[in-house]
Amino acid sequence: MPTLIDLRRRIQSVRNSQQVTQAMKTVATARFKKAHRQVVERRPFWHSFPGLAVSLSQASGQSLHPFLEIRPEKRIEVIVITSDKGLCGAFNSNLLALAMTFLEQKKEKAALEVVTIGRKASTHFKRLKYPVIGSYAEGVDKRVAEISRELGRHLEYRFVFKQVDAVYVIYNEFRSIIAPRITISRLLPLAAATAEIPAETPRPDWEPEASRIIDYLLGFYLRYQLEHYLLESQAAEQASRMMAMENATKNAGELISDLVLLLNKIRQASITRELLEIQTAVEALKQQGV
Amino acid sequence: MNPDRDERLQLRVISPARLLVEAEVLEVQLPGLDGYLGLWPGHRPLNACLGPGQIIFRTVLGREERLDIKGGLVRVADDKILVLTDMEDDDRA
Repeated sequence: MPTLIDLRRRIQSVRNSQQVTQAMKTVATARFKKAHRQVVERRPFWHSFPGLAVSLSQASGQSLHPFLEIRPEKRIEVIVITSDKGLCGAFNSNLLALAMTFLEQKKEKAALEVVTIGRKASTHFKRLKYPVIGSYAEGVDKRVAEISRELGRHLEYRFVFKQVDAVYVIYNEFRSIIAPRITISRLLPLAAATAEIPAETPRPDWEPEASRIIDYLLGFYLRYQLEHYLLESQAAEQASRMMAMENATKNAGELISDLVLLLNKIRQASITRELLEIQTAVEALKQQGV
Repeated sequence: MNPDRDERLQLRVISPARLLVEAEVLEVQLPGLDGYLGLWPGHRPLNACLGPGQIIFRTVLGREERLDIKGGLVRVADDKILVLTDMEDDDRA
């Protein structure tokens, strides 16, 4: 049976943890709102951009840009996006587990290279045998534009000069507050689905010529797409942290009420015992005739 | 040049930061590279680059609205006009 003082200390310490988780939840909620607004405002662009690029390249009827060239996947670059900080539930571990299965699958047929974004991914891949050719950790959330530009240039160079044949991105897509959806998407080559355009649609006019329009459009592709992945991942991260902290706060509350109940029981038992002892002493003295 | 009253164009103007315009319009003028392009319902499919200028469109209420853009790209198909604009061109000459 724990003593009262121990129990009181324990309750106080749980209460302190609860305050911390509560505060973290508040912070995560504020950050989440910001990230979420950004994602929602930018989604129209992200959703129309790749579709437009693909449909334009189809309409032109030929492969006009190096990004559209599909080669056998001999060398693959995989970009893994996690968060810098922990305490966000299974956000990182689920993603890394999926990334590992993906890498295991691909490693038979192709040479793999990994780019990690976020500290969790960096430390994870440090211990493994996959070659990590780039790593962005610390303050990823503040450098989204810079990172996506730099990485975009790097990927463009490597893909156009045929140093890699495909680029995949593994990231948490923000779907709902409850749970993020882990997504693997192919960044390069740009998927030109083989669906034929119906013959009766009139061929579009191009102004200037198709190759220049596609060149212009795809010049932005990598950068904005990477920005998309990073921002989605951040919104998802804040949402999962919010959920994780809310659960922690709730659990702490339950623990406190259990402990308080136990404390009260022990306190009452000791009062009863003391009363009993006094009473016994009084009775004993009476019998001795004092 | 007098369009049927029922015919409308779906105009969507999107920048990387957000959706700028989503509207049903009667006519649109876009700043093409060699001067303004006027678009009416029933226009044939067109893909074009845009220069800096104003997108001028007349809404179904007959009101004329203007939007400044720095350049971009337009796709016209099936009376749907999709304009992507204000993509930053910082590292390309």
